[in-house]
Amino acid sequence: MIDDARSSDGNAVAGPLGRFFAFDVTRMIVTCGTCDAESPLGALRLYGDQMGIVLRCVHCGEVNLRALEFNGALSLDARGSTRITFRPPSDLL
Amino acid sequence: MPITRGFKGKRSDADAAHDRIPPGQYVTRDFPVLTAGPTQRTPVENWSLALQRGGQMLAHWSWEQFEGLQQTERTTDIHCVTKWTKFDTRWRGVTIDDLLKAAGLSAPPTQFVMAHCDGGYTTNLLIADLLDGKAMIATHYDNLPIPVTHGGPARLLVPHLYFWKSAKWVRRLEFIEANTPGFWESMGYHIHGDPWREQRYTGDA
Amino acid sequence: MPDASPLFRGWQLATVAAIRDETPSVRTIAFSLPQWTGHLAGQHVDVRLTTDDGYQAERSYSIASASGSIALIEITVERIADGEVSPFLTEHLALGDTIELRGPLGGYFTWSPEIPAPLMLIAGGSGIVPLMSMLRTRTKAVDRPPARLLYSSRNFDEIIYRSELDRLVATKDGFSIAKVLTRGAPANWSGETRRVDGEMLAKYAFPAAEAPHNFVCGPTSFVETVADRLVTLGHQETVIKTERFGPTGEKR
Repeated sequence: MIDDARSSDGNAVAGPLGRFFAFDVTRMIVTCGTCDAESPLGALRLYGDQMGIVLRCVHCGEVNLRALEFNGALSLDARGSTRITFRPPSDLL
Repeated sequence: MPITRGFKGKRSDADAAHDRIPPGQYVTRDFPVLTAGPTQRTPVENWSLALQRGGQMLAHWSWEQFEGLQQTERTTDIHCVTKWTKFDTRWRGVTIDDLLKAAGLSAPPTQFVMAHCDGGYTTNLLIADLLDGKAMIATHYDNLPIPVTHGGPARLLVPHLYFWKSAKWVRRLEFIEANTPGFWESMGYHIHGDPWREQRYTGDA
Repeated sequence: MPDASPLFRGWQLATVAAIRDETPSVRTIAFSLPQWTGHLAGQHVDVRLTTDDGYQAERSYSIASASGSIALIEITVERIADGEVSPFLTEHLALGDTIELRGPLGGYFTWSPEIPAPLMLIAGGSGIVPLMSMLRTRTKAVDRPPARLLYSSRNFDEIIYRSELDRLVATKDGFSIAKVLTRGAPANWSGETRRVDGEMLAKYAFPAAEAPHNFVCGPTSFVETVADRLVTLGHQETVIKTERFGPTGEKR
């Protein structure tokens, strides 16, 4: 499942995705819709290159989140996750 | 938009061949790799290609059987929706026309196809965009087996459409009853994807 | 930890204030910024370059300088031979030039000295950059938790921030380094000479029982191998933070 030729991770979408949110997206906890693993968005594996944002589960590799910006709007598809949890930044972890 | 002094990017200067460059594209000598997931590495002994409709398998080839089919060579330009265009790419594979013939199908069973790939990628196509020599299942690029990063052992090649339609690691062509958006189309990329009409996103042209 | 103010999410024009070569292929660039709220150690910036016909390229770079609100930050860029952006940044960008920049970005891969837990930093190649921000931030703090760095480079000349790291160890404030060279070491090398593995982590990392916060940064395969081994050694996933670079050493 590890492909060191291509991926970086969700940290890199802090800018591109972050402009549409009032808070830092990399700390959102994403629950994988396939294997139930929970992971901060920043730790998900990033694919898609210039086509768009594809964030995959670190444990099973399935797509958790996809995002594409076009015509000035963000299209976000979270069907690959069953839950996204966000705790406001007073949490130090 | 502020111009960055001295930054040229990696594009070639646009040649005199302006008529070969679809609107909004620039020419590159590179062959950029874009992917929606990890590189798939299916050994040919585990590879097969299927034609399918509903739950029914219409045809199936192992690698050896597939290699035994009529081969076609093609040199063509390719255009990525991320704006790069590459001239004169050379491919070899089996045209979809020859594939249907080998499957004993005198006519395609439906007007629409969904291509399914190792790793889960999908893209949808009109039959009209696959026949009459317009498309093939390619196994060779520049006379060598297609590298896994570029979709080997076999990828779909539909070069008259944006290159996201030329699905890497293709394993199954499913005849479907209605035109249904695939992986990128369901995110907002255009359901058809003609670079000459600049059909990049839903709602274009 | 403060979240980045939405006001400064947009692009601003940063001016090159200083340039410093760290190794033959790695350069640090300091930018002065018209608007800056300050950053946390581990955050990054996006830079955007535009050609005269409107083509744009964007990349992310970790902030190397210590956290703080001074409107002068540093990034450290590794030149990749066939890259599109890094050769420009490391060879053409000059003092006084301006570039579009956005940030600070990222709240997941961040560290603050208020966290009392031991700090474990594991770097592969240019992955040292955000971890250096953490070490520089720690040095400015009054209370410094114990910290260890396990730093893997290909060869001696490619060790980024080498003399500064040695100076930090010499301050004897609870910081130690284990260095790894994977493609050949000088004759008097006292560090490790094989790829980071479970045995090496067991030797140099804080034990799980000490509840350290672990930060791992570098190429994807390095990061994932190290993270897996840390889990095997008993560390909880919630205290293993990762940042993977693509093959170029850039985040994207």
